[in-house]
Amino acid sequence: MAEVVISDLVQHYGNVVAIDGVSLRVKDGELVSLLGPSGCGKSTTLAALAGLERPTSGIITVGDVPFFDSARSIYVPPEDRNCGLVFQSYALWPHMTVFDNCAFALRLRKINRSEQKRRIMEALELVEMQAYFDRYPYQLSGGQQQRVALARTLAYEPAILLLDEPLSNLDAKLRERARTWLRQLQKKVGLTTIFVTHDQSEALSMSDRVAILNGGKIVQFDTPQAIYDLPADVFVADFIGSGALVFGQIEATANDLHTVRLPDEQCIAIRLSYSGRVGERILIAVRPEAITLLGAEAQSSTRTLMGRVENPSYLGARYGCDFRFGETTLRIETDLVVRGVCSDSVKAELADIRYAAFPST
Amino acid sequence: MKIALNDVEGGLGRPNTSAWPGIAFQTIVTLLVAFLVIAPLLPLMLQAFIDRPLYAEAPEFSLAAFARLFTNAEFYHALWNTALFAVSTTAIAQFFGISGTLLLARTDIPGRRIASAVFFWPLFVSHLVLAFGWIVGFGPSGFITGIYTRVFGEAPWNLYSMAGLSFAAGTALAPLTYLYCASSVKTMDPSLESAARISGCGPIRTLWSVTIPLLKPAIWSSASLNFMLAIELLSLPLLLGGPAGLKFLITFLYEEGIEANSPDYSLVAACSILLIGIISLLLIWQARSMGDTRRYVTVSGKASRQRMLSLGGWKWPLFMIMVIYLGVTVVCVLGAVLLRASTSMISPYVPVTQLLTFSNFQALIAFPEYIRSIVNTALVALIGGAIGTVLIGATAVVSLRSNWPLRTLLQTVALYPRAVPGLLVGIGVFWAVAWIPGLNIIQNTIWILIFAVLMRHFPTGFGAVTPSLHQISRDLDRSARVSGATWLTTMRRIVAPQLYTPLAACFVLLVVHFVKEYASVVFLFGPGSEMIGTTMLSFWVQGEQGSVAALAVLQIAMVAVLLGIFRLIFKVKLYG
Repeated sequence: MAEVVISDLVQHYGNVVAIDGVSLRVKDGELVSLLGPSGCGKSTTLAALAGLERPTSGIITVGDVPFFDSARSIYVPPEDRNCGLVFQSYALWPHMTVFDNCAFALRLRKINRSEQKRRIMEALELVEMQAYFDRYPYQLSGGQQQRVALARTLAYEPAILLLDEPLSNLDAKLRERARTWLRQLQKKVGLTTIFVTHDQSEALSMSDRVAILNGGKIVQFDTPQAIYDLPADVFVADFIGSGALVFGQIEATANDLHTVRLPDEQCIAIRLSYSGRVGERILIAVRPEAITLLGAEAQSSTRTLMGRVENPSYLGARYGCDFRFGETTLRIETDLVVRGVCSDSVKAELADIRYAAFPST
Repeated sequence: MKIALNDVEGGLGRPNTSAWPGIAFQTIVTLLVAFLVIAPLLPLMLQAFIDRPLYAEAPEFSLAAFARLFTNAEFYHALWNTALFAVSTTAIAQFFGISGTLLLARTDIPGRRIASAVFFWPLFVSHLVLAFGWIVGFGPSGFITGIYTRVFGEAPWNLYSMAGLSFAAGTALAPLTYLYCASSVKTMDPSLESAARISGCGPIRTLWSVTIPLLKPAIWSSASLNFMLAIELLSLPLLLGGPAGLKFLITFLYEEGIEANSPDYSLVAACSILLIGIISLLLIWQARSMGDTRRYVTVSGKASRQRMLSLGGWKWPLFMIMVIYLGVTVVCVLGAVLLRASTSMISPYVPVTQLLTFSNFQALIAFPEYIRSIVNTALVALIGGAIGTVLIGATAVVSLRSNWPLRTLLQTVALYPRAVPGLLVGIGVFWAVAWIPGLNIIQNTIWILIFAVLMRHFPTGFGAVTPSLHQISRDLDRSARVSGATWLTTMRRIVAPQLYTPLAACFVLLVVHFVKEYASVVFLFGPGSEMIGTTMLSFWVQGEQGSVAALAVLQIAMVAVLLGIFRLIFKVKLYG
């Protein structure tokens, strides 16, 4: 259990810059996700933490111990770091039973047999796999392998726990359950955990804080709520949630309230996170849950939009459709039976919340 | 460097590790492989550029050897013949190999299981034995030639000619083409052919315009491999080309280096370097033009059964052609060896049953030299195979699974013997042993033989292990490292256990090649360092056909027993 501090970490592969100055401070016992599209540098950061890659420059410190410091030429090899790493592929050693897989690290640490057995069974119990101790990996399902991989790591009580997309090989239903289970387990054990994922709902639902990476840089590091509600830039606004970015030009401002002219000349008055000048062109992030279709008889307000409903689809509990005005399309979900309202002029209302907005470049 | 973690860490702490054993291991493996490969090449390189033998004092730099070589009319004759032979042999091998693949692996031709096994047989037999078989069967005084002459009059073929030689060599190399193409066909998606058939394409047309283009990488890599093998082939050019007065680069070297009374060492070295240079250029060209295609062949988990193309009316005519081809090139050739080994002579005028005898085999145990050559072959094969397998396994993990700074160089060095013809390996090892101080203690022992055959076949074994190593996920190593294992412990406890089957295959492959080996050891043969291959050659020179045939049968039997054991233990065939 330890605090993890990464400062100004850079990783080059030839001419390619995989990480471009990542700095991160993870508090003791915290679960932090590294989230981003593929190639953003999240797995490289994790590999650098585990010692599997030697970064080009920067500093990595875990609980006051320098793991890597380019200026002082410190590089601790992976076997001396006492980290725990769970792979996307689980990487269970196929020639060893579940028990032997867990015992490997303990034997390297010269733990006596009875203590080994106690710790392994305890770890297997924690992941509810104690009945399978004498099985070989190929005899287990994906979910079971994932649990064993975690038990194998927990058995030797690493200083920090690193998880590299450990849930992405599970099917959708199992993944939901594994999220809750993993989060509870992490809280119980209290291990400082860094979790790499490309699945935003996984990151938002499990983490204390989320670091969003893009192009080898951390673009936002905050709590899940803050990231969802107040994205730091256009990339985060677009990457998180299934909303759309709407173009507009500021017509007038009054305190918080901005009157925005949309590309099809409609005007709306909403509150924005960004206070731009009059006449400035901006992008507004609109989440699908912030827009509601209105019946024809409903009252209009300053937040009402006129548009067309297209591509209706039945989703089971609700309906989905595209709400289109001018060249802009918003995907929305609604309780209304959209098949009936499908027409050229439908009213929709934006919720009375503060919208994330960014200057348009 | 050790850094104590603070008390916050708790738990069990880190294991006590040291990186030095791993670094020592990597250094030793690199030095061993470098010695194995470079020691035989260095004297050749030096000798080509000095004016007197290596052992003489005060040598001076000189290019005279190259001048002598380039003004030697025999050299140009040999160069031209080598080119002609390599091209025609490759063409013949590709023609039969590709036809064989298409017929046996893609059509419903009858008896294809047995036929494809028979097609592979020459792969397990020494080219020296094949040469004897061709001579005993189809040579000017061969028994099949004799029978033909009695029944139909003069035989229309002459084995002792460029055409006869190329045909024999081409059919000997055709199984390699088949091996490459058939494994490529097996990984091919069968729906590609089905799609062509559904679009209205006939079976022959489908083979021609879908299957063959997909085989292109396999066709090219087997063609360049066969071309290089034809250049370095010794037995057939020597035994079949010699009587016809045909000289090749490799026989030129054999005669100048082994048979000449006072060898021109510099000339031999200069010609060797030229030959090694030509093959190196071919290897570079091969790597540039297509990369190593085998690297991307993976075991596919797809269980879809390939539908065989129906030949319809062509079925039986093609079957007859296949039977004739296999009958002539495999059954008659190997049968001739077997028949000759168990008879006192073969004559069309005396029934075979009257000539049956065990005397050829008895002759083998009559002299200690002969017994020694058999025992040596077994020892070289088993000891050399074991040492080779260990060193190859170690080289593979160091060059492909470590951060060793010299790992790329190590791989290049380990694969380089591909460019060195067997005969030149022998010359190189012979000179190295005489030239490097202290190494002469292995002269006339089996260790000089092991040195030579190991250097020659190191790339073969290496190539058998690396694809499997590539298929073992690196995450297995990484997770062991993170759990606290050093590199060496990870290789020993995690990676090595995954490699048992490929290493066993590598061992058997090496043993088979060592039992068959003759080209690299003819130069090293002396009292105490005989092998079956060298004894066969000296019997042949003495005209003892029966004993040669008996030894050949013994050699084939050794290989067959080995392969049988391997199949029993691992339930897989070595090829295919």
